[in-house]
Amino acid sequence: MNRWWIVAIGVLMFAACNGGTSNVGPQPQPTLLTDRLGQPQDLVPTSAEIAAAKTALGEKGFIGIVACNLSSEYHAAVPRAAEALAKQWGLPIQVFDSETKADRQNAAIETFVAQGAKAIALCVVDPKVVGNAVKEAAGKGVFMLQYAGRDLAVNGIGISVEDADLGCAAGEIAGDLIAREKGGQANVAILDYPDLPNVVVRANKIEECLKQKAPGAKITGHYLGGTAENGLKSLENALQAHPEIDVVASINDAGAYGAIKALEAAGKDPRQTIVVGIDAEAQAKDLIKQGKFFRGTVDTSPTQTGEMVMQAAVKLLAGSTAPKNVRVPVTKITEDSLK
Amino acid sequence: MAALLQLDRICRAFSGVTALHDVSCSIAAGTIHALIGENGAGKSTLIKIIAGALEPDSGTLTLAGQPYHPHTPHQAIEAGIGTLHQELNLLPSRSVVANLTLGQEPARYGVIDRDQARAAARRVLEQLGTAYLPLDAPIEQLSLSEKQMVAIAKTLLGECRILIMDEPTAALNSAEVEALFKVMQALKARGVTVIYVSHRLAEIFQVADVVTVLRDGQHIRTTPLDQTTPAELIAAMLGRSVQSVFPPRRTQLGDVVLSVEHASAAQAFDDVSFQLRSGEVLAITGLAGSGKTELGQALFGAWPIDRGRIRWFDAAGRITPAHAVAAGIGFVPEDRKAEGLLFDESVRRNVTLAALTRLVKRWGVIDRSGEQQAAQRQAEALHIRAPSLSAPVRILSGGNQQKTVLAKWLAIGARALILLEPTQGIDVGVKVEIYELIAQLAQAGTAIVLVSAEWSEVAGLAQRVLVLRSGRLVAELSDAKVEATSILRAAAGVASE
Amino acid sequence: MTTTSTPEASTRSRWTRQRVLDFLGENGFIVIFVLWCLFLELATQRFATEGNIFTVLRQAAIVSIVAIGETLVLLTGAMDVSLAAILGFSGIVTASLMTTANLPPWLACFGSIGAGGAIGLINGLVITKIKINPIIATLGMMSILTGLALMYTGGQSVYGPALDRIAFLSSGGIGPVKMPVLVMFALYALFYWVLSRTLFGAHLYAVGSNNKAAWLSGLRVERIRIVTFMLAGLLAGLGGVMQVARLGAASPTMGDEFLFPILTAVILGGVSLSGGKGRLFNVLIASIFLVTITNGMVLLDTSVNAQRVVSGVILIVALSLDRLRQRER
Repeated sequence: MNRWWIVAIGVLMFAACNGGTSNVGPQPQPTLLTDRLGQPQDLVPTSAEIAAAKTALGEKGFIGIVACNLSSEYHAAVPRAAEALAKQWGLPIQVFDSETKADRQNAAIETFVAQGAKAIALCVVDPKVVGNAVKEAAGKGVFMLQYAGRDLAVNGIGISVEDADLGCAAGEIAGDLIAREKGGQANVAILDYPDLPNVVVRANKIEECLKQKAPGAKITGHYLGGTAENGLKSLENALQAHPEIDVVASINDAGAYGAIKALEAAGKDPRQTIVVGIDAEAQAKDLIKQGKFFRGTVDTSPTQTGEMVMQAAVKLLAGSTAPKNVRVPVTKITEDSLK
Repeated sequence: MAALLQLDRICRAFSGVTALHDVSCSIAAGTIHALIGENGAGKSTLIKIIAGALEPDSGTLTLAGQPYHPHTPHQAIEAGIGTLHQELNLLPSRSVVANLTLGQEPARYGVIDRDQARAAARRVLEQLGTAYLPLDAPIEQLSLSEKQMVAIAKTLLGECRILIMDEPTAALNSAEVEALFKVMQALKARGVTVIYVSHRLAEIFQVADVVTVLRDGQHIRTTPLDQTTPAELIAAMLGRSVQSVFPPRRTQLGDVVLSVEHASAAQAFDDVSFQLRSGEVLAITGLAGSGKTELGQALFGAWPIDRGRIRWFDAAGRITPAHAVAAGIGFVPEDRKAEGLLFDESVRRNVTLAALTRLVKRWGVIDRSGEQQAAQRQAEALHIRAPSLSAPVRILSGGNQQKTVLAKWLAIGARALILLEPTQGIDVGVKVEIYELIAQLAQAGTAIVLVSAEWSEVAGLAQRVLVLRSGRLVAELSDAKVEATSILRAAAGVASE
Repeated sequence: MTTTSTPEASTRSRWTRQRVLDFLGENGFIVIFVLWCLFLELATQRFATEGNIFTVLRQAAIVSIVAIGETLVLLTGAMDVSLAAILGFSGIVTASLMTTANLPPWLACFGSIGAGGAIGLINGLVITKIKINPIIATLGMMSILTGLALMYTGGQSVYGPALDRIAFLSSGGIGPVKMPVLVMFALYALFYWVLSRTLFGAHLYAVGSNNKAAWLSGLRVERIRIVTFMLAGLLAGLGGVMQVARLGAASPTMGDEFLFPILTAVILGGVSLSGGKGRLFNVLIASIFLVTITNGMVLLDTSVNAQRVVSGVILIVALSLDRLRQRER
């Protein structure tokens, strides 16, 4: 029976060790308002709140950011902005690259929690895959924030650029241009990326809002976009089936670049053919200034999003009052706005 | 000893083609009786008749004085004649004891008596000297050799009087072969007769008491093994004279082409030194684990040496197979399937593989007609039987495959050849062809290293024999001393008289 | 007494049956391909137009060129999963050399193709000298290259007017036959000739068929394998240059989307994964076949998800035919 005593002592010691670290002091609980969608100014913290957040983090605590990927401009920019603000305020922060793989996010959340994260801001690749991990972490008292989406910020704040907003903005840019320059008639190809459920929302909204602004427009179909090669290949093929295509609306700028190459090769008139994207990448803005094919994109404000994430984390850790969901504004970018 | 099984004037034909004609033979009880002959000589037909799988067209069989006419294999088993099949007929997922007692489970009221079964199994394994086999291990976890032991034990449990074994050592290593021979001696001690069909004369001389030679469906001779020699048996199998089996050895030798100085390789051989001259056939032999195979490989650069030097044609530096080939040295590996041939490629490509670098035109393009001619030349010189040179070498018989390997080296005009067990698993007719080829090559000045465990061919072909034991060179025999008994003694470590 | 067939007759009939299965296994997918093309033309009337045919060939060009390299590696019994990453890496190098370093186009292109060859050389050395498993070694290389590209570009694309100078590699050509298609056919012809007529090709097949026997026959197995990886790297580098010309830009992850098509093309094209067997012509047809699937789906106005399902079905059917020839052995 000696074995059992050893096991029992071991278990007690283990529990004592783990129990010890979480005793930093009673954590102030924040109040989250759900009556309205918050604005960016609702999140700006006072220096007292920043100090309170630092205390709440203690020796080992940190703020974790799980980024969807670090390879696209938008997704790399959010954590970069958050890190900059964190450094400014002297708060420890760690960033994880999910490489757009939903299952890696589960491991990331668990690891962060085990290492002592007090707040985790998540960009969700697939809500169904990561739902349980988020609930578990929240149950342990870690604040779960979310950006680029909001349904999974169980005990934290959701900071979202709505895919619906993005899609609708792009659709409206395209629709407006069709109404103004093409008398409301056009043949539209939409570049889609059905792998990511949030992006499907974008594509659908593009179509919906475009048709609101230009009811006479005809959608020739949804084609695979997402990368330049996909956009190029899809438009090459689509133009074979529908040589009359003269407008392309893409769920991101990358796909739009490829589409433009295809339109060029097909000899389409750069002044008569309209291409709209989303993400407001530097290359997109350059192309818009040139005024050939590319006519508009939508700024998802990644830098502002990143800052808002850090601000929200501070509000939560300091136990303040803040709205549960905050909307990141999107901006339409066209030739006019770039002057 | 009284004849246990008597065959009188057995005849059998298939679709008008005679397989056995007027074969009469006596098999004595309690002996290990070997049955040899070329492929197609009728061995398998004969044992199938004895085992009840075929019926003779005419002639009689008598078992222990009583007429014996099995119509089915089952009747033969009932009469006490069992066969050790290649497929072994064991149940892979069931245990050793379950397989052993299959069909003869000791049972009371339908319930198997486990203890009795295990006792019976243990008893029979002890009788065979294989009590180390775990009774509860599932068959599929045993090695091939161990499975064979179980299959043999099973026949013994069934009160078998004659056990027929058809090429049982084909897939075994030397240690396993020794183990099998021990079991066969144990069978003999219990009065079981073994009919042993094999190509390997060395083994037959080691384990059998009597040998029967068949040729073209006819019985040629049956003699006790201590009254004959391998050369006599080969001659009987082929219908040639004894002198023509092993061609006369050349006595004039040329310059030293290979010089081995204190070569050592860990776990293989230690401090081996010797020289080889052009035109000489030098045999390196020994029992299993003697290091002869590794030494043969080392001579070609296919096995690393830790100390000492191996120098061919006075060239300095380490040997690699590529260098050796460039210097005109050829290598016939032990496993032609895995190491000697490109199985899916054509016969032609296999023959010219080493010579391709000399068959190119400008820009590295292969001279196709040159390649065809070269391959044709070799195929004719060596009598390689193939449907066409474009056929994949895979479909050739073992003997023709081996000839293809040899052709590869003749195609580059090899000045020296290292042969590892060149006639293993090959029909005796092709064996003799290869012996002639070796003698011809030596005559023409090629230096030959023959690594072989077949004492008969070593004794018949070599001018000098190096005997290895546990990696050390223990004897160097030449001239008159080169004959089977002295070689065997030196290899086994028995002092010579 | 029943007359059973003689051993020779049964061997011959088994051999014939095996040859029929072999033919179907190697070439069955071509039958499916032809049927598919016929179906598309009948259903859409737009498949067999000059514009569409050359579009398809153009889209197949880069994958098929890199697939030559993968075929060479597979023939020797190894596999290289870094080729797509080499493509992406060399694309970034090309674009950066032309935009940032302002090098003349021919120098930038040769530089990045050379870089691809150097990476292939490293792959070959690591695999033959340090004896690391090829898949693991090239997997590691893929990681390194992608990481380097991301680090250097910070996740951003490289683009600029300087890249227009190589646009002719994508849009130039003779009439409707554009450069990528010309290069594709030229390279296939060249490597077909190398594999079937030259010493190097014969040695390559020998190494893949049984590298131990090849070694024991005096072939320089290590050298052959290293050269093969180098050639694959060069071709992947060329692919990167051509892709930059096609897109007018380079992104650090531009190679990712090529990995699956390259491997699918060689497997569909019947190149044996254990080495020594495979026909280059079939890889070319397989590359084109893959492109006609997405092209056809768009012509048929089907949704993106339906495309996935159909691609999968076609591939399984074609690959099952490949299994046929394995069975009778």
